[in-house]
Amino acid sequence: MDLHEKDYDYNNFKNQGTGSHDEPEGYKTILYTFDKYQIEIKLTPTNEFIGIIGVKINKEFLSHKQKITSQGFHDVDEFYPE
Amino acid sequence: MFYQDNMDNALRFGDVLRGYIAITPSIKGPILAPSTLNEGYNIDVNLPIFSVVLSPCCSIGHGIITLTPLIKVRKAFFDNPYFLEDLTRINRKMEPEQTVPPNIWEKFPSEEKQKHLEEGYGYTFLELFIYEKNDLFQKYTIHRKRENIETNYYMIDFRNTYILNCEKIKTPEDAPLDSKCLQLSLQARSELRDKIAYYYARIPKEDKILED
Repeated sequence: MDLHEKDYDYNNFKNQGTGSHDEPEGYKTILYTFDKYQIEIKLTPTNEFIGIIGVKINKEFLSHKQKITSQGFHDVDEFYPE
Repeated sequence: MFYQDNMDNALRFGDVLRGYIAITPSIKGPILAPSTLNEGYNIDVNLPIFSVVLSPCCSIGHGIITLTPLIKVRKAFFDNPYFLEDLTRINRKMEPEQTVPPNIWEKFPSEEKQKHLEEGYGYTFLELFIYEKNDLFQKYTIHRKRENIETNYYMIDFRNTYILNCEKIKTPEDAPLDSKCLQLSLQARSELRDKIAYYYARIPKEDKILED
């Protein structure tokens, strides 16, 4: 269905509003992991940076270094079966 | 010296006692409505030969004591030559390669070995504390493929801790001292204190991340 010019402008205008969560076609959001955070970054279709739209705690927060260090003790239970 | 030659006339943290029941309550699941209280719970009561005091010295009294039963050690401990020489080494921090038998250490994938090396000098079996052999303790047999071992090492597991009301325990000194069998030396009691404190004080990884 064709849109009248006025309606088209209105839809375009609505999508660019601060309260809109719609994502214009071709634009994308990527998650960038930085330390313990995940940063949501909005990019143009040609991967140009538009802005940061959110920051959240990374649930998979254990880096490789954290995974191999500082548990505080040696967990060797599995090598001593009952 | 693991046990004190001359015991104090008072109950102390880590003492070996006799004559105190052990209680284990069990439920099938949470009892969310009072009407279901009579369904699905069980309370086991038994009399261990020996119990160990886990109340801090200054908190023994007012008719309440925290105890845990003395239990047999795991037979697999004897597969580690470092432990075999002296099982109470499990109570103290050790080097990474001492935490498992040498044949297991050698077979560790490099990532697993690196994990332990990064951890460095530290505890293992955090919830366990070994009680040194003593003539008072009954010997039992550890059955192994190569040879059986007779031992009277025992241990406690911090996860088995329970409280018991006993009106005769008024203060550490005003308590049934005839139930006291062994008292830890100053050093052994300090080791027990250090290990149980570490057991409760360790911070999970999930919380550590928020502290960074």
